Amino acid sequence: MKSNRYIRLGSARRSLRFLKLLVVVAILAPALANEKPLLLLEDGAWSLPFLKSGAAPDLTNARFYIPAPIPYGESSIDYAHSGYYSPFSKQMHNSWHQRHWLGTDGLGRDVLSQLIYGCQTALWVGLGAVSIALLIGLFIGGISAVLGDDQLKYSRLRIGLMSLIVLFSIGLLIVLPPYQVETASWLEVLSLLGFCLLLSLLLFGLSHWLLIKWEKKAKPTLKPLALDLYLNRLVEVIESLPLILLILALSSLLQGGLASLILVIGLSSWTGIAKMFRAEILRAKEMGYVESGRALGFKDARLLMVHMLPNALPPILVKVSFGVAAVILIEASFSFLGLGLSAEEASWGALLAESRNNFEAWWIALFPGLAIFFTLLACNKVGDALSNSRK
Amino acid sequence: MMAYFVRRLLWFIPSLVGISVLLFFLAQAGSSDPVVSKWEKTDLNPQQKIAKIKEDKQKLGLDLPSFYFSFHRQTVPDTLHRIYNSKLQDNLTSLAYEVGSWEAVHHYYAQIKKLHRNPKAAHLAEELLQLKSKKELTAWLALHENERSKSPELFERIKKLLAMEVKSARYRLSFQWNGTASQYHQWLSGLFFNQWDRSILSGQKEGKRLYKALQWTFCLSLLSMLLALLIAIPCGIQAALNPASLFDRICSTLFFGFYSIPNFWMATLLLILFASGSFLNWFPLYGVGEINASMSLGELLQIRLSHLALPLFCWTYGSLAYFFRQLRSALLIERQENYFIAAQAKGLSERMALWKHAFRNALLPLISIIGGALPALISGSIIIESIFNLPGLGRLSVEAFLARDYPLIFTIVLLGAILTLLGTFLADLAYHWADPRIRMQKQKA
Amino acid sequence: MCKPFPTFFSALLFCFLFACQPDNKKPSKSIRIHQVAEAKDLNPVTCRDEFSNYLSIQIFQPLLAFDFESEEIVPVLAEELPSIEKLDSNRLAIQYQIRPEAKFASGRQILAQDVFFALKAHLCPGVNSYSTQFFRFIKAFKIDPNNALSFTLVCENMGNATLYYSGAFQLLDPEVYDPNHYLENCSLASLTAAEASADSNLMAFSKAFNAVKYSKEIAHIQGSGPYELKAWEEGQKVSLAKKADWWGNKFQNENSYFKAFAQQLEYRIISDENTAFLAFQKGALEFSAHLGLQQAQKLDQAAFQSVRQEESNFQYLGFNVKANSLKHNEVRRALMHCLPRELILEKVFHQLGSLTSAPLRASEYQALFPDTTIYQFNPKKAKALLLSNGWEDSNENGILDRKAEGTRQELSLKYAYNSGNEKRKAVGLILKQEALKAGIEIEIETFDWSTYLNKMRNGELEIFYNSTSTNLLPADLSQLIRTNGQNYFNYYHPKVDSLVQAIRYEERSKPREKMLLECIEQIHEDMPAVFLFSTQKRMWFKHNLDGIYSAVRPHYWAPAFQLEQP
Repeated sequence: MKSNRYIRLGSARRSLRFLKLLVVVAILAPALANEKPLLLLEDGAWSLPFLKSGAAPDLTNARFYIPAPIPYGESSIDYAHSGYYSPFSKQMHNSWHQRHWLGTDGLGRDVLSQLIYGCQTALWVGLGAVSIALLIGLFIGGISAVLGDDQLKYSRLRIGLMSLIVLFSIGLLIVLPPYQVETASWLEVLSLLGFCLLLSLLLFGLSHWLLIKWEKKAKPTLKPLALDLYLNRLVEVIESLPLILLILALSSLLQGGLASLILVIGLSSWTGIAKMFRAEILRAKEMGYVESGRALGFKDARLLMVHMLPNALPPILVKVSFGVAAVILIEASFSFLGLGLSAEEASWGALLAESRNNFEAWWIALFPGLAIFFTLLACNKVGDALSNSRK
Repeated sequence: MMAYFVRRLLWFIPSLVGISVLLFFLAQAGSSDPVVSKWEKTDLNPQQKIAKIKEDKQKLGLDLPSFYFSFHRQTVPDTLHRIYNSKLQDNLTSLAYEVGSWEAVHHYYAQIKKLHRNPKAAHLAEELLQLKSKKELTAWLALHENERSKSPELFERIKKLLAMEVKSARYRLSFQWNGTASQYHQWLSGLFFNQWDRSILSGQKEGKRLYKALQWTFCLSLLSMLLALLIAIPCGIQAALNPASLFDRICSTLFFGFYSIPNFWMATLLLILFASGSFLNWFPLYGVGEINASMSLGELLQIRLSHLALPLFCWTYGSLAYFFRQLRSALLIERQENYFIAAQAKGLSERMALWKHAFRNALLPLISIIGGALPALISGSIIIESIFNLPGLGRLSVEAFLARDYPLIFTIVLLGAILTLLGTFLADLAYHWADPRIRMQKQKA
Repeated sequence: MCKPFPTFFSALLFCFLFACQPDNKKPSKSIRIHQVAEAKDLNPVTCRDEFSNYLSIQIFQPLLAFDFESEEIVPVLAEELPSIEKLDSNRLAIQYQIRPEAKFASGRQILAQDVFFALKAHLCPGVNSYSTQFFRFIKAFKIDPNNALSFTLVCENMGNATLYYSGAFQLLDPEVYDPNHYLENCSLASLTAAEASADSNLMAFSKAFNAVKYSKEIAHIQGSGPYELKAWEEGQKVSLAKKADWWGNKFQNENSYFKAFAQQLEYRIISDENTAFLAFQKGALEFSAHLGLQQAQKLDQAAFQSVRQEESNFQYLGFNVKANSLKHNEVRRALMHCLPRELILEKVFHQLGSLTSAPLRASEYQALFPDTTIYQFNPKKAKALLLSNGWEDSNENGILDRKAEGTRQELSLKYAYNSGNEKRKAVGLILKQEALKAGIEIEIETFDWSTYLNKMRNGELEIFYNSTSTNLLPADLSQLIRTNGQNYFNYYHPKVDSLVQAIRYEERSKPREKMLLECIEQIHEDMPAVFLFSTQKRMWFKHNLDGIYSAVRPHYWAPAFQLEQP
């Protein structure tokens, strides 16, 4: 058993290294694959064209320049090589540098360049969506486990008053912001929103203070708020909606693009994390160390943050590593449905989807397929190592 | 005990209401209008299109406000939902916001409509409908001062508008009670009064089609789940018996490799390899096969199975890795428990001890996964059904979504949600059956 | 102690082997035709999608239609082309004679009364069809008292299209479609009156007529055409069978609508392009007009043939002339210079199309205006044009800008296409790459189809790719350039408006061409759109399939398909 574990740890280390490499490639993508040179000396002035948004400069009069290793950008089209040029086929270039090392797709885009930019997409989607899910999941799961069904007690007056204040704040939010956001200055918008928030907070605090005084005096019957129950129902509701249908429903609202994809996946996939975190905390509550902590007189918040959270975290991390992998796959199937990213954003999934149009172009299928496989494998190996390290 | 489950069942009601409200507002937030796009690509001229859209909306109740009540600023007219062009809605609302009175804008709009009927001046009306602020209006007025004669009333109205500015109206909130004359109510009551399957596009009831599609998808989902368990459980147990053995490694790698292949790609590959005839010709390419009444059961089974073998595999292979991993790691934990060692000490073989004692415990996490897996299966069905051309729910729902046929979409999603809720409920029941500890806890409570 | 593993897996393997069975190789009489989308509705009045329409012209028949062979208007149920008489400047009287041989499926002869019923069914308010508005141009229907087969339509003059549309509706058997005789006694005027939607009789009819049974149930879908619906499995196939003793058989030589040789037609619905290609390659389909190009090029030339037909449409890149920078003529003109049309045609459309520089079909355009130098691809010229009109790159980021209303405005535009349309996406990418050379930044947006349509209609898009289908009638720009600025471009020019109207009503071809030329010149001047090309449809079929292929949509006449026995 032991040797096995070390083998696993070794492969986890390799996996981690692979993931780090992906991150580096993603960050350096604009410098690795770009039709514009990295450094250019023209008319006695040095410049960094690859950071600019304009067209590629004319290099015939340039005194000196350093081109990007792959002279093709994310969506730059090489008209001369459109129609699926294989990596091994004869290509019409002046120099080796311009060769399409991994071939081209039907339109004449460089597959290697798209793979490199695909790293960016995969990481954005994977990390972005999962971190949104993580934030929401931890918050909801934590609240629901810590406060449970009976920790939060309220008098009727408090519930009534608080809901009135919430309604009032919503009303403020409807009424206050200027209608034409594009004509109003940002300062105006921000200050109004700030005013809104401040007013609601003030009201909230004031009524809270008054209520506490009143509760002390009048001693009303306090009813427990079954927060856990409600939150569990919320989880159930979100879980029962099929994700693709949700994306379809939202697609007209969000108008495509990477950010909205991340948002939607994130907003709809936090439930697993919430459920798991809740279960972990509930388990931790039963453990001896929490009771002894209580006996020592530690406050709940300290118990939660210092003692329970570190214990509950490893299984969550496992879930996260699997989540990243799953999200990359989800992006691929959206590309198939034509719902995924905007036209300019390259992704492995989009390449795979394109490969269906021409199965003889094996290079469009193989390379992104391998990229997905190894990324998923690496995520899972890291997850495995994390879950094993608990035992 | 019973009380607990009855309570759980009762909780379905608020959950379903929650889902329906959520869905409804998601749909409302979208900028596209199914009725408008239904008539947009026809040979009608703009006036005829508007007449048709109006007629359709009235018939379907889509000219009603969306919910039982609404809040808005006082400058937003309460009849805004009757204007069918969302950009125009925006323009008029923003004008009303600047001016501070929607009545004034309403009169202005009425004058524009009047102008529109005059063929010589209709282009002016079109131009005005594009404007959304006093600034633009002033510029327009300066440009077209010489055309005042075409509609002096309108020019008066515009002058009046430009002079007005009631800022306080912007900050007043008006609350409107729409009661049962709201789209949500119409839809909800339609659900109970046999209108649940009425499509906006065809205006017809699509219940039969929905039912058939549901049958296929549900059937295939269950079959694929069964298949996944049938493969994953024995493999998981075998792997747990000899961890790190060759078998374990092969299974892990194979299933994981499967997991990382997107199903649309796998489906295409399988079609080319096994059904296209260019390599092997083992399976039919698409559809569910044709059967007739005179066929024997064997023939029938063979036709159906031959058509469904590839789609079922594509539906299943992705979940193998997950089930396998879960079961294997759960069993590995159970193996170290005292009872397992005791069972072995009693003389049971390792295999028997696993099957008889550890298996039941290791099954627990699987049960809850199975209970909640339905939405994922429906999502998967969209892709597989469209590649293999199966007449299932996934294809139907994509079609409905692309056409923005909301009533149909709602019904499909709601159906999915109900099935999932039932699934989790059944999983709960199964949990009870499988784990006496939970039973005891609940009884105490 | 049994070993579960070997037993279990061999059982699974057995199941798998049991499942192995390719398509049954029964030689079938029917001709299998590929379709991508489901037929939604086979009621000829309410159907809207192209496939349903196509099926309905095989089951039902109109008075007149475009012939698939001669590509001209031919009489189908009418005995001959009707005679037209001008009543006054705004009204026409069109006199029809029905073929005495024509019979409905029940064997009953078709009379003028039945035409009247069909027209009323198209016009009845509440019927779920655009026809209730569209056919309002027919104002009166008079049956000849001496001849039950002859009748006269009084129509509003719709210009050159009036004749065609006056006979374009499908005939219905009142015995089948109105068994309760709701429409029997109402007049045409009462259908279009304002209070018609309150009439209980009409409402009862429209409710019954909209019902599922007329759009989906085999027993209730009957017409006078050569075929009857035999089977319909939703999402899978629609089968038509030739009527045993069809009345039209003897008119075989008259026009394509009477050429119904195929005994059975089976429309197979396969939405996935790849699956359809594999099925076609395997021989499971006889005909397809929807094969992806990349794959189809690899088809075995010995076993399959293909034919190309120009589709009656034109593709264009529309500009919203009211949107921010696009309101400047030079920006639109510069974008035109950034559009390599030949290259797009070659790389994206694989040469399946021919160029047109006006809102006309390519063949029509090339016949009228041999001049093809109106649009020049030249990004350098585009940049020069912009620079000479006050644009400059003041912040040196490679994108031009200029000062407007006190703020600096970058020349950045949005190109929109409907998601899933790979060709439009590719056009966007090419435009982006070329426009960048001229200092214009293009952002590519995608919306799903119905949102895209709504946004285009509301003028919320900046640059958009669109295609407009025309028919084979004389050119009529009014579909594209609706007057008064009610078009996707928000484009208004009084001269163009009046010319568009005049072209519509001009019957003589010479003056019409002159006005057309003048109108298109003005459009080129203002450049609300860059017209690209008309696409061509490439249809694939088995080498032994004989058929009629034509410019009339959908470009093939399936009933005339015949499989030659080798």
